[in-house]
Amino acid sequence: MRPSRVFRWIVRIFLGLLTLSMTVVSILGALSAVMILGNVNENIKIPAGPASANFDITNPSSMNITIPFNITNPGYFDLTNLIIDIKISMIFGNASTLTNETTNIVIFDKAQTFPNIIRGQTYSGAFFGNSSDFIEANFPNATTEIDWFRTPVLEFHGNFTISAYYSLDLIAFTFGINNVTLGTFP
Amino acid sequence: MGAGKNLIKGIIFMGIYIVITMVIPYFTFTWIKDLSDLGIPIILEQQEYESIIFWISAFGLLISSLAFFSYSSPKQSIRKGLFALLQILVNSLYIWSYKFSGAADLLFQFDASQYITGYLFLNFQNMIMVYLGIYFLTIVLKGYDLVDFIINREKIREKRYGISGGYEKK
Repeated sequence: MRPSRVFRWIVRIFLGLLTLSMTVVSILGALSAVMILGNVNENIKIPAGPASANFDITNPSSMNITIPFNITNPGYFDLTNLIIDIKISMIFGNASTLTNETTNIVIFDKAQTFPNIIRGQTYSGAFFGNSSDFIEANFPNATTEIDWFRTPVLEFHGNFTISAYYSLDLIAFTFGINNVTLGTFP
Repeated sequence: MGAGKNLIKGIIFMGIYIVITMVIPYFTFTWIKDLSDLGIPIILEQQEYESIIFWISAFGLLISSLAFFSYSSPKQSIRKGLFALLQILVNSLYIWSYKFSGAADLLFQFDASQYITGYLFLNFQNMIMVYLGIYFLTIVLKGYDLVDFIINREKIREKRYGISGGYEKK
């Protein structure tokens, strides 16, 4: 065999191994996604228990929120760069408009990074937010802008976004849960 | 190898490439689209699915036809080297089509119950880039092959036909 052919075979074997390993990673990554999503209600629990919150907009410095969560990783790879982003919006009757139209404002927005979740394990954590994470500038004036005769006076909704990488950081995913009712006042 | 055998080899590899580049991706994306039938509450957008299938079919057909010409050509011939290089270039475009057809960023609508709705966004761009890296190395290899087939044409012909400088070897 000519030397050029021998060199070619060495490169070809190297490329074959590279392609094969990438194919295995792709297949296992897809199977991991199916395993996580196959039982999404059990694998991703936000909130996983009673959440505690103080949404007293008349006293912004005392506002806080704690949301416990559980994320199970039944796949073949570790989940890395786990970020949870929570946005809370508040709906109220706007007394400064002629017909007291309902207004939706974002009062809280925070992204928090969590440790990697090793394959086959469940991570139990809690998402914390304090007064500095609430967007005070968006708050309505409690005496002149909020229609206190509307029932309920205030409604709170949450949008949850979980993003992470898996399959050796080759696949990124973002999972969003929209418009979860968090509570009302009164 | 005779012309007939080369033709059969070309047809077999064309079939293999049809399965790899069109049939398997078609069934995979159709399966993903209908995951809700398996109890996984996510739905792939119809428009995105149609765009992915269109590009997979378009490039899959091109790759399969080039595979026929490449594998039906005589071993170490310039024709084989040229078609193999063209095939790997179209293969790279095929992988790249996953990026622009939307197959590398899949958006699913999620509907677990009447109270919980949302979305799932999968991004395979890093994986596509790694595959393109492997294809780049393969392009270099095919380019090397073509140059090798041109430079060593006499040696190859001598080995294949047993002739040297136009005269049959005794």
